Amino acid sequence: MASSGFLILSRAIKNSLKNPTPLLTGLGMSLFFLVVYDAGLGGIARLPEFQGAGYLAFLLPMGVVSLIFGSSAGSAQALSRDIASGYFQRLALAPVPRSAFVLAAIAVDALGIFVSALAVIAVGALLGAPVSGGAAGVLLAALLASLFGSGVSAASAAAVMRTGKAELAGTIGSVVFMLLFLAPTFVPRELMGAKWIQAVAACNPLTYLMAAMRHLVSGIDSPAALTPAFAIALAAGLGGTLAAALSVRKVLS
Amino acid sequence: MTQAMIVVRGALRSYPNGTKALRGVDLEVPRGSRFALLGPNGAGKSTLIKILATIGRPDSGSVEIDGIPLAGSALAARSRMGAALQDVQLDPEARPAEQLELQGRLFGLPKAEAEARAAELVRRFDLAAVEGKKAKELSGGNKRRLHVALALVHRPSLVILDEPTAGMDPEIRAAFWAETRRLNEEEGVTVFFSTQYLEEAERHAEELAVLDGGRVAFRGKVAEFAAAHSGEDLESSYLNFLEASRG
Repeated sequence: MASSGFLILSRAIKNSLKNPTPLLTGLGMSLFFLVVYDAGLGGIARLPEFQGAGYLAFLLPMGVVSLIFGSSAGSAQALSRDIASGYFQRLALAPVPRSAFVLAAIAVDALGIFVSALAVIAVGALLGAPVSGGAAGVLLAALLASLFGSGVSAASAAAVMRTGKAELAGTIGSVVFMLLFLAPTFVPRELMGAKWIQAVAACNPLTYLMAAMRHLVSGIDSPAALTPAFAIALAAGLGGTLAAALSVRKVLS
Repeated sequence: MTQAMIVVRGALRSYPNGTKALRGVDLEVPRGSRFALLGPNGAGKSTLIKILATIGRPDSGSVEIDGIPLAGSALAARSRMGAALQDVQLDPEARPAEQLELQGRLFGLPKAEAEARAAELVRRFDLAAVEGKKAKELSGGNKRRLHVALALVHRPSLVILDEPTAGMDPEIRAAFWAETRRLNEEEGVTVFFSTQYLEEAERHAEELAVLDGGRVAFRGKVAEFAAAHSGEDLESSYLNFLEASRG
């Protein structure tokens, strides 16, 4: 069984390397947003609400979270290709739990997001973002992104398997992208102009994820966000993965 | 050890659109036999084959493969069988040997054995000339050959083939049946296949079952079927049978 798991994971990694578009799209967009928003809005970091750490320290989690927009579509696209070619049914004839093929694709997305998050943080550091959290903080921030991203990836895979519509592969990621604009992504919550958006931000899971990342990487924002952020990421990861695993039979029927 | 390789009892299967594909199928397929499943379009052949291959499930009834009940032990049953369903199922981006090796390893063959077996099947199914091509670059006939070869990699004791020779040219079809017969006669593999080519069933099956309207309308030796339906050959007997069953 362990050997089969390794084979399935190897195939998923090879497929991801053969089709790197989702991963590269996510990474490219993240770096673009990071550079452009820092160049365009960086001056506001002189306000005391930014805790004197510079705008890049505040903005860096946006770069990490926006990775998920592009990168989480990889597993759904890979599964969609296997379903369309009929190869998924062929794999399903092997004496291996069928959910393994789905879990492997999600794991590869999660790994891709983890590595890309490290790359985004490294670029942020090169551009001047403080990394006072050290290696442990950076790794935990990447883990947080990866866990949450695996949930988004799994939900995308579940949507594709349940509907048979390949075009849904990027839809859940798009929702994450929209949520970025309803969270304290560019300015702290107290600087968000309208009360309604402050209220929405308080309920937005990305608010806690980004606050936790800021604390882990740059030592700004409140450590109180760590517990809810990891709870949200874990719930998204487990919930999405369960939904994807339960959707396998739908493909075969 | 039970004598039957496949035992189906009271299998019912309906689809959400209300179609009753199987209306209580009972069937036994002897171990080591070559067994043909016949029936008109919509008789339930593909539904039954998908259930045997564990791709589908019956709404009720039971199925055993090699004495293993599919309900609750599908993984163990899958390891005993190789299946090639009606639609060709290949990884379009992978080459023939790659696909055969992966399939062999997923069925538990060690790496060296999977490689050797893949090379053997590439030769047996005359795929050597296209070995460097990805599946998406193969001709329809070569795709079909690879599709069938994938069912055989792990030396299963039961091979389930749903219209395996559809789209094959006569030469390849002859080679396919020669290999199937060899597997059956030399390795004792039970071969269960559906076909629309009645001359194939007549020539290559020892026994057959005819599905009609989701039920087994006949099961027995090929010669018995011909005798029971007063035809000169299987095809005329089958046409007589269909005419009689339609009233």
